[in-house]
Amino acid sequence: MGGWHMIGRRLVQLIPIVVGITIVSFVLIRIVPGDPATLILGNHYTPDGAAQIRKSLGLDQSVVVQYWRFLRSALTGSFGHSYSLDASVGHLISGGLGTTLFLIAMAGLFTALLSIPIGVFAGLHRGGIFDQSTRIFLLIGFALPGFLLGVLLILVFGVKVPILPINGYGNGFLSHLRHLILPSITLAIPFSTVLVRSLRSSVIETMSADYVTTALLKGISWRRVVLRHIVRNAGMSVVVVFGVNLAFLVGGTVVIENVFSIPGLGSLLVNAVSTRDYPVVQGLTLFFALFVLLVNLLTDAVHIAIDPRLAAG
Amino acid sequence: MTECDRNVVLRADDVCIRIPTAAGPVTPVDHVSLELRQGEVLGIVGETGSGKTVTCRSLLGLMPSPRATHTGTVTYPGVVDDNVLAVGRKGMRRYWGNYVAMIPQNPMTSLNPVHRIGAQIDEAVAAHSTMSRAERRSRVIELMSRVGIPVPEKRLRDFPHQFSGGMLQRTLIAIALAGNPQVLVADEPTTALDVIIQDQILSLLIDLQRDLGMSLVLVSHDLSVIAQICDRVGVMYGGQLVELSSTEQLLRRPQHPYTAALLKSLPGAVPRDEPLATITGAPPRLLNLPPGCRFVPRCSHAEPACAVWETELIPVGGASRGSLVRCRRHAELELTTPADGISYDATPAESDRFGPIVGVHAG
Repeated sequence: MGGWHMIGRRLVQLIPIVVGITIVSFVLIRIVPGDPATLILGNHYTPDGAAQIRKSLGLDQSVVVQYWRFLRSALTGSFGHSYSLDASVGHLISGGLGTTLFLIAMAGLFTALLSIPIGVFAGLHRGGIFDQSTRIFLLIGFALPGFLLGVLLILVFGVKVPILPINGYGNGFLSHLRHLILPSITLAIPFSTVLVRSLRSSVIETMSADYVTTALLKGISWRRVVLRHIVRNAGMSVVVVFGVNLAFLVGGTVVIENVFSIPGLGSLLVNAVSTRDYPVVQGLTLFFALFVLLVNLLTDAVHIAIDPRLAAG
Repeated sequence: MTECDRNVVLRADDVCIRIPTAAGPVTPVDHVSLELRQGEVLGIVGETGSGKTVTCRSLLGLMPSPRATHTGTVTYPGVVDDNVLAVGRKGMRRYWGNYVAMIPQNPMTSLNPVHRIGAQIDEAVAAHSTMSRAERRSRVIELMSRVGIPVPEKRLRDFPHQFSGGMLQRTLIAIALAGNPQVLVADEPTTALDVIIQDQILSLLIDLQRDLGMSLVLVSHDLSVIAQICDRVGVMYGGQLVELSSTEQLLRRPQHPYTAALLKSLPGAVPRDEPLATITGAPPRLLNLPPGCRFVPRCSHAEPACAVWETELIPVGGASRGSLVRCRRHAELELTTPADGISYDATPAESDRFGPIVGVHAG
């Protein structure tokens, strides 16, 4: 059970990483120029008023004390109280979390639906017309920035042929689903270029494996050779690519949620940064980092589960 | 038991396989013709890169690359009279495992690491039968014990990484046998294994061949293995068959200088205190081959005319089952073999040619 043992060790290793992330997120937002008190007061700014607010937010205390208070609030799960919104950060996160997870899940699903058939087919028919034309798709999908793609999709499906909602999140599951179609496609296209490429090359590599020849010479159907021996094995290495990139999709949601005005964690973060809402930024950064780490860990677990050689280690 | 009476089960006729590469076309199989009769063991020897593997795989209709082109024909008389080289994956599926099967060179990479041993044998059993799951299971266990895998009921749940190289090769033999093929092509089946395991696997292979009456093409670069097992031997050099004759004839009276040199280079060919004879130079790269005989640069009998000779396989001894040799001087050369170089039993059928294989080198 060597592989599972490794997962346990990785869990322990997470502790120092998380502590490091709290320091980075705490320091980074304070390095950014701009003072929360000034931004809160806006046109009503007076030096006295600002000092008053700083005192009430605890920003007059030493950095060490401020960090300690952040840590303590993180441990309780509240992450402190937002400066600009009347709620604890923990509350805000749990409010937007469902939306963002829904978006990520849908984007992941679209990515899989898009890239598995394309990658496998292109790999099986390497050099064919289909394979050649996917290259163009890959190039465009990879080069196009997400926000531009999002705007293009809004233009086509929201304005020219208005069949899909272009902003907001709607009410109820089906409405959520409809509202998230365009944003998740926007996320899925660049993501699937990465996946199509790795799946294609993995399929090509697997096709020349000796065990594929063995399988073929048994006289079983080509379909069975492809599914049980080529795709099954090529998929193993691609699962890792999928997992790692799924984690990075969180970064993509920050931009895309703003393009499509979706009230998820991404929008929350952008607003918090622009108002220098320190607790929200710190809390969200830490939360996103944890999410990435957990998805990676989960990816490893899946990899171990599908590759018998790893479980034995 | 005159061999001429037995059916031809596989015939390769003037097979050429050409692969285009960036540096120019490579011809790993160049005008190879051979026949395999029922129950016969045909050996193919040659150095690394002489085209043995590609030849072997072409007998099953496998091309080395999707871009490879071929001329000539491979047929299974009475079974597949169309050219096996042109039938393609779809058409060959009915015969793979069923009529022809292959035992690969590297057992470690020839089983899928993510499927259980039992499932992989079962796949081969199921490919050509309509047995129920339970029947197939007992067939898998039967096959596993037939190839000498101990406690098959337990080991069929194992994954390939839990098997040793020898056990993996036994598994692959079980897979090859699953469809009761007539023709078995073994491409250096023991090269990747330990010496002791090699002998076990070879004995198993010969045992099975005899019991099941299969025809066997055995590729090897080890002449001593070939000498023990094969009825006839083909010697390959630079993608061409340079000599094809009965094992006895080949060992006693080689016709081609390359064959003679190979025999002389075996340990045991010279007394213990003398250095081994070697063939100087390197085997030809299959790119930009010399126009005439390919062995010229390394041949001690070469004449200027050899370099421009349009090579062909010349029958020796007249009879239809006589030898073939690709040397224009074969008649004038008196090629010798080391006195005691290779032990070979003149009457293989009646005696212990399946006896101990260890010690074949001894001279």
